[in-house]
Amino acid sequence: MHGFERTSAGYVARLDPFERDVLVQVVADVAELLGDRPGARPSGSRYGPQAPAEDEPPTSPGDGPRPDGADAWTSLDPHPDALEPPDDTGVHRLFPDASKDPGLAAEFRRLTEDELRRTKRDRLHALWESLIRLPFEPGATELELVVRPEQASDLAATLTDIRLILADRLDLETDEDVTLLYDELADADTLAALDDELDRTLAGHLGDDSGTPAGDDELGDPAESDHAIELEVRAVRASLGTVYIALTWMQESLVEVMTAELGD
Amino acid sequence: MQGQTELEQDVSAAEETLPDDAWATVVWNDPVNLMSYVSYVFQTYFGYPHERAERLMLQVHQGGSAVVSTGNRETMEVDVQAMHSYGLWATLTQGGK
Repeated sequence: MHGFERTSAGYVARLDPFERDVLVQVVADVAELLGDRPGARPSGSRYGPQAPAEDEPPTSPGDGPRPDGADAWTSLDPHPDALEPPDDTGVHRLFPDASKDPGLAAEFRRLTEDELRRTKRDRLHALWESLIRLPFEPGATELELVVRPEQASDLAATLTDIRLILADRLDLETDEDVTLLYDELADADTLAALDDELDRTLAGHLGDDSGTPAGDDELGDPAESDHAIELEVRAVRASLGTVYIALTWMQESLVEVMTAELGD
Repeated sequence: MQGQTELEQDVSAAEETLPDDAWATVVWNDPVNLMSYVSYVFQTYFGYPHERAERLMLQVHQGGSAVVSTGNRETMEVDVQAMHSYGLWATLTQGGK
């Protein structure tokens, strides 16, 4: 993966097909957490070099220009009834309580969460569409994600949303937790080593080296089974952590080119 | 908050003292948001000069929170919603509570 650089075409990041596939999956998973599985509805790519067609219809009734858009507050789209905070702690972080006062927090949630959720889903959807449509030139090893400067703020925000969900899954609650994650994954072979150890442990469960099916030992020794589960948990954590760190790096490079544009 | 920490400067200077009934938007520290991104949001959404945005960002990062805007309740609700849209953790307060 190569971070964003400013070019005449816009801000450009490069990623290989495997990285793209991982990112597509993560974006889809986060969108699904917010109630929208990409691929279910058509829409134009907002991150490609081409602008969406002018006559493209809004993807849902709420996406079009608002007739009363002059006043941000009156243009809000309140939920008719009280909304409970999301059960999922990661999703709750994306729609946090706006006040320590429960009544005020509940009213704010009723007034804003539907619109915020739609905004976040639309941004994820736009990124997903852009990623699956990246043109792959024959002979090339990397794909180019081109972002127009006016789209960059939306992309930076959606990268934040994705990282917030991953951070929740990784139990990153303090700055120190993040430092520890980097330390944990500093060894480039961490993932491979975990995979190998997991393969060996599973092989030990399922049979001997000759590949004959295990007989009485099929369910395995409970201690070994616990070990296999622990290894798998660590492998999943290492994978999520690797994606988190890659997205952090990608966002850092994007914000750097965006900030340079501010020219202060 | 994550990012470079060499931007040490005095962040103890309190923001302006608020009347008891004033509403405010408070942004809280989290381990995910990048320092550069938070500063960018303060500059572009609130229109703050780079120096003020950096000072507020450092106040969030090092002090745990900062008042980033003040005004009437409706305006603060719009600001808090905008911060949530950017992925920042923000709350609404009145009279510093």
